Amino acid sequence: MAYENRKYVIIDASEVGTVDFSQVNETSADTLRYSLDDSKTFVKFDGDTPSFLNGKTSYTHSEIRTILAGEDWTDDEIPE
Amino acid sequence: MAYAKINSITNANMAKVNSAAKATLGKIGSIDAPAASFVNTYSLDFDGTNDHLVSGSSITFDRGTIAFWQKTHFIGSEAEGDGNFIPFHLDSTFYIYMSWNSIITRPYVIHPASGSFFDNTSDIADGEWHHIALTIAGGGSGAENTSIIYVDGEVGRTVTSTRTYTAPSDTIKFGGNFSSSYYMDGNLDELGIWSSALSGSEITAIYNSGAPTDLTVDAGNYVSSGSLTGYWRMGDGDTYSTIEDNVGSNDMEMTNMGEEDLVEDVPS
Repeated sequence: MAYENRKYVIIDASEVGTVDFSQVNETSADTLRYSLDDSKTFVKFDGDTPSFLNGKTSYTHSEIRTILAGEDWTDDEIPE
Repeated sequence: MAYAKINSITNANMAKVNSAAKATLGKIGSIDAPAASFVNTYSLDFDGTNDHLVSGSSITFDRGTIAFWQKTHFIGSEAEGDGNFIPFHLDSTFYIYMSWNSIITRPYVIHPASGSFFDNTSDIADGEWHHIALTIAGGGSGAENTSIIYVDGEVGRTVTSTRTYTAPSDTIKFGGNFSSSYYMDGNLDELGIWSSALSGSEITAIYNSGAPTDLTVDAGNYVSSGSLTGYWRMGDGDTYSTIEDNVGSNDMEMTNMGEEDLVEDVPS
């Protein structure tokens, strides 16, 4: 899938309360994926940018995959 | 969004057609009627960021069989981290992991009956559909057990060991949610769980040269439909956001996913 219409926005963990989950694909605050230090999370949407995310940087699928593969988000330790 | 609506309508109609066909075809007079034909149109598309399914209730998997189809969106490891993902996870003692070793991405099984073991013969990250199956047979905790990982109907690795353990038990996580990492970037389809260990000839039969079959019906060498305890079609007959268990009642919820993630991309 190309995800050509999908955008991802990283937000601070402190901003989770401002997320309108009816406008993003994330199910709820309980299902968000956080950075390893729990300081950041992200939401995704298809199509127009929800108003509560205006002014924030959005990323493509390829860009967010690269970010999430970094040490802030992914534990390099292989499961034993 | 129009595409999503078409998907939703099509799924709803397909479910009605399937239901009507099953009701009509069971018996015609005293003559056995043919079973409703098996149609596989949809799989689930996971974007590798936080998409996953989670079951409504827990299962215990001591011995038996787990089988599913998967396809990666990437070939090799195009981005760091792509090649390491966990399509099936029960608890910290049992999961099926796909592990990148700088050359290939191969299945890696962790279960207390076997310990951890790799299938180093198969590279599943080639952008094509592959059938993954794990069977565990034997006496259970404290007795000898044989665990086998199959890829595309062929034995990849066999491990026989005797261990004392507690049977893994938890909700099913499919596509990710093992931890903050290891989400799958690819498609998953046709997950089946059996209480018995299918034989090699049965695994070959349900692989069916790359075309999924109806796991609820014995056919050819496959004779274990009676021990099928869970069967999730990944879109066929489902209505967003619930993935129905076609055998039991342990439905799964599409989590952090949209209707657009029900896609017409299946093994054939």
